[in-house]
Amino acid sequence: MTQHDSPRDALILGGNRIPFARSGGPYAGISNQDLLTAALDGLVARFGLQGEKLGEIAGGAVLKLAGDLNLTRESALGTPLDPRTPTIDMSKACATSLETVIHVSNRIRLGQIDSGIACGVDSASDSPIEVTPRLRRILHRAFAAKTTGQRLKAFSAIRPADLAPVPPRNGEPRTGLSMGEHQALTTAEWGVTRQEQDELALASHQNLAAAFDAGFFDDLVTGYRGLSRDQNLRADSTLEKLGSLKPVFGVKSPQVAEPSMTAGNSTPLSDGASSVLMGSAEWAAERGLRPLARVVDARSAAVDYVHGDEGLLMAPAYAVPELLDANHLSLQDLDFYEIHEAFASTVLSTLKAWESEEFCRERLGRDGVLGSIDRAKLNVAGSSLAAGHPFAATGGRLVATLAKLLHERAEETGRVQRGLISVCAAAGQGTVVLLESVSD
Amino acid sequence: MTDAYTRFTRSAPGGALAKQLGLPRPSKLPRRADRPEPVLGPVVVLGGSAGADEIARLLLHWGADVRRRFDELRKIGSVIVVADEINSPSDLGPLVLPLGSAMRSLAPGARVITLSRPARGEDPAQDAARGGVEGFLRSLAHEMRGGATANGVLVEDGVKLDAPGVIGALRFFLSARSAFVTGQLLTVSTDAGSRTEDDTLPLAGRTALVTGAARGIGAAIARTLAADGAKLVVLDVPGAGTELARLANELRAVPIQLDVTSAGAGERLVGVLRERGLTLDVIVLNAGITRDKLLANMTADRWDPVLAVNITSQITLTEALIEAGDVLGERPRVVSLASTSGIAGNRGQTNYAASKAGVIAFVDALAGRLEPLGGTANAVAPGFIETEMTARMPALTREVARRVNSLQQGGLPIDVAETISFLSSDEAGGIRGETLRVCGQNMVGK
Amino acid sequence: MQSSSPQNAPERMPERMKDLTDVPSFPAVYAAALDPRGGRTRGEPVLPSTAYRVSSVRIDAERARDFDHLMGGPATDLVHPGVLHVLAFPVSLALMARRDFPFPLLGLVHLRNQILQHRPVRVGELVDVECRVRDLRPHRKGRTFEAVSTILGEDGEIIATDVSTYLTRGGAASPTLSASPALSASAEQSPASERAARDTSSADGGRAGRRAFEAPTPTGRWSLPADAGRRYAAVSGDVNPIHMSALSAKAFGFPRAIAHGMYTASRAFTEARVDLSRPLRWDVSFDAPVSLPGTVLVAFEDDKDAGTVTCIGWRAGRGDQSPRQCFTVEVTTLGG
Repeated sequence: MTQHDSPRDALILGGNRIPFARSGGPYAGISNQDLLTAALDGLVARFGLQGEKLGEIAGGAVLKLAGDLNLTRESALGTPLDPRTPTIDMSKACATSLETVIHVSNRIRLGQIDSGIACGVDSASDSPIEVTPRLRRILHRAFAAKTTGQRLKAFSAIRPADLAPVPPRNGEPRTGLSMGEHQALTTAEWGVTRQEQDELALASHQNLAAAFDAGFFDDLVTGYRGLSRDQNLRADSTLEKLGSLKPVFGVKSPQVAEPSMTAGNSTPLSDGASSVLMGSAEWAAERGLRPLARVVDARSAAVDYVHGDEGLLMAPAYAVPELLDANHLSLQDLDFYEIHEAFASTVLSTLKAWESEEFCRERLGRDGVLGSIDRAKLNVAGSSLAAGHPFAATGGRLVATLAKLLHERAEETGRVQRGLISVCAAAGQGTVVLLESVSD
Repeated sequence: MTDAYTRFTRSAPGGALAKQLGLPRPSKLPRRADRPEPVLGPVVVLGGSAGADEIARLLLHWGADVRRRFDELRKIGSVIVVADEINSPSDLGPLVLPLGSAMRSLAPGARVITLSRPARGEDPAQDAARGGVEGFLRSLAHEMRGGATANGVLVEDGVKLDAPGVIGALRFFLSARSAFVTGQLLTVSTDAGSRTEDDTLPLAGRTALVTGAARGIGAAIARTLAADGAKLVVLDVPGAGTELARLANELRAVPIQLDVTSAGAGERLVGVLRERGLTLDVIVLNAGITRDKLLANMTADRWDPVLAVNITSQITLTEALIEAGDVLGERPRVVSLASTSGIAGNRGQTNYAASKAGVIAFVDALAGRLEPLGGTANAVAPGFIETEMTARMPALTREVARRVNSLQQGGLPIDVAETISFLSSDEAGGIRGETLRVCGQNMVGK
Repeated sequence: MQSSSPQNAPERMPERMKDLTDVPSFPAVYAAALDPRGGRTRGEPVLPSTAYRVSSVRIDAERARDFDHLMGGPATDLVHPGVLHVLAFPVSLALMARRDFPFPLLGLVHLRNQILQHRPVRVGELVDVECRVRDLRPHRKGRTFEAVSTILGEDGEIIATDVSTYLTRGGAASPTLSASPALSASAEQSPASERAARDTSSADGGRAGRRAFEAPTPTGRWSLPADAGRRYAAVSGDVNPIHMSALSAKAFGFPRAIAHGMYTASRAFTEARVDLSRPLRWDVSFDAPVSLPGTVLVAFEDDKDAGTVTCIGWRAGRGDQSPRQCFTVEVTTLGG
């Protein structure tokens, strides 16, 4: 492999996603498998992978139908890739495709595979609707019945109330609070203002629009079903428009003195899929593919949000310092920060935590603060507030975007560039990844 | 892909009805898949010049059933009228009149081709004779039946009749690839070009860029060029990304999502080509849009995009590719998409016709620019082609548009693609700055 | 465990232990409770000295599983103490439905519940259940007494003690069956009794007037559906009509069905995430009832040093209406 003791590099070679759509929009009625196949098709086309047998495709969805047991495999079989390419389905809420990137990266670094695709998909328009537990038990009994009589007897137990579908759960199972309500409490705790949130949302829209205008996404996004840009993008958004929206989260909590989280500074339910092509240096060279970045390291963390010990979406605030320490970097040593905008206030609460002496001392057990970041390096090509957030597709979007940003900047400056990706996830989890540019 | 009317008239009762009512009865046009042979025999070569003998020998060499007279032939596949040495209008009659008696014996999908020289403004009698060939040919094309076509090759003085460009044009017109081309005269102006090594893969080893490739004619062009052996780079706007990706996967092509009208589009294209280590031998400038409106109702938001996509982008892209210096192969071939509207004009299409007429003039100038590089630039001008775009036309307009040509039907995207493939080939090296119509001899224009 | 009251202990008759062949069924007990009995009104009420015992009751694995799932927890081999409560509850209810029991079962208000569990209980285990009533004492609103259930292992060791404190209204006056009987074993039905309950649970009980409740920052929200009572009844057997439906609750004077107090307490226990393998104490005090369907905000607070998790449940204030505390649950893991 190499003469070094450290494992070989896992390289990001490029990515492809479809434009993200608002739930119930142009992708309504389109399945997760359709969306993921479209994203993979575009990736295969872009990198000429027709007939290629890759080491592995790791993918996943958060809102997954029971029938989508092998979602990634079924999607991959619909592409021109060699059908003998193995796949794995993974899941970690909003961090799903960031975890698939880490998985493929680890496999490549350990020499288990030479190439792979990390991907993720979600459709809030086609999310699973469950039946009641009672109906499920009756149906299981009926399916297991050996005679028609037994089957009819089983079916006869069905009551009208059993037929009411169970809507998708809107909230954390252990607390009953929605993610927005959780974040509203964190927002209040950190004193994040409406103004700050709206400014972050505006920057997200402006940055994403500028990146599309500059053609930045021409080789990252493949148009799908009439969309060529993310549907949620409002290039003409202004602080006035954002400021006119009514708060939607935290309005019922007496603890939230001034509810500030609106539809404008929170991500909407979205549909979409993303994919990232990864490989070893040798594999890339054999195919004439130019590496953009390498995966340096990754960490994940979780917080105990259940009894209010920590905010639901604050796990990355813990994972990032761990990642930085392990790589002997300070927070300010990074050239790009991709912090997933679940809500504008999630990003801002995290940044405030790192700036807080008390948080860094008592929660992180550090001597000093992590400090502030240069906001000009934050989400420079827009993020989830503008692009939308199809849960399992967001990690792939972030990795491909950051890899391209790092590569471009490294080419311009001739210096190695480093970037951080931070994604918070449901159930108090977070995953963070460190990427480094690779230049020719 | 035949329209309903054509299907109807081909049915027994429909055909009888159409005949009684004097309605047009379009014939099925044999295309390459239906008639793969390069020459439909027997082929009769008319004319007594040395050039005629040369052509007859050539055809024999290709294995064709070659005759010099019609004699008792019951069926005639192809006729080549070699009129390279006529000097006065009176020379025309003896040359072409024998064809008259043979008209009823022409096979379905037959080919009549004239080989002559263009008027050059020197000798009045000779020019009159030369010009006369053009009028004869155009009228003859209107009289052809059963999907047969008539086209002419105009060979500049000084260019030999066995020059690659002449042979190439002759082979194109003789083949089924020119199914929807009729009544056209194509000028061969230089001896440049070379015979293709492999007739089944005329574009082998060449890399071709097709813009606007995701759908319709663009996709047909890409498929045809790929079938002819070219490696494809397919380009379209990001919004057409899925179709583009699917096409790229089908053809193992390199997809490039790019809005050709965006700022720096040319530089970005060059960047991608360099990144992928690609040099282009063939550039097909197909991307085009329509925004029809009478001039009285025309606004800048309908005018500007049409001009920007249909002509300005062609100028900026080719300029960037030439300027880059390292992304064009040897003997580059540019083929641009014009339109019969650009030749004859069309009500409601002042913007479109302006852009397409611009294309016609543009390729002529570009041909000069490419000459030092050994390259050529030409255009094709499609008439009514059955595409998704024309499928959205009002039914009556569409029906009229289909019938007003000598072949009494709309063409197919493959017809445009075949013509482009020919103009992209090595054989077409002597053809420069030309606009070849693929219109079934649409009744409009010159 | 609290010792028995010094006031009543000396007066107590020697205990008579009565062995039941099986755990009584709730419907039978409730039916008996509706039977008007006249013999109770004469003289100072005295708690019966009879104790009930049911031997070798198996902790049913399926019931324990359903109980765990209803509380939102994983089905474990170690039994939720709420299962022990519902196991013993019908036995103590049967005791209180006896003719010599001085108060009407209908109208009892469940103020408090304290369980002390000495060791974990595994599903499938055989246990003995003993129930007694004791500690009758005066209360501002009437009298309170305790129903004590003891869970014993096969070798006679005490596994757990479950003490339920009930209020019977009417002070020293003779309790009578109210015109609109509220058969309440878990919560209260009138502002007066709510006040009483609050006063009991506060340190200086006895002062009248509502103490303003200041809601803490919620850490969770429970959306309790209309069938929450029926679902708890399915795993606990407690089919008290005031919990089952709005219609059946109306028949007993409640505008809407109310949640079982021990349901909210058991759910809080599950969400407290305590280590079931260790001895523990589980104290619950009930305040305002929780109507069904309804929403309860909860705030958990972990005192890691004391090993205590406290859960306060309340219904949110709306408009001028201030928030109302519904329950306080305290779970303490004991050393050892």
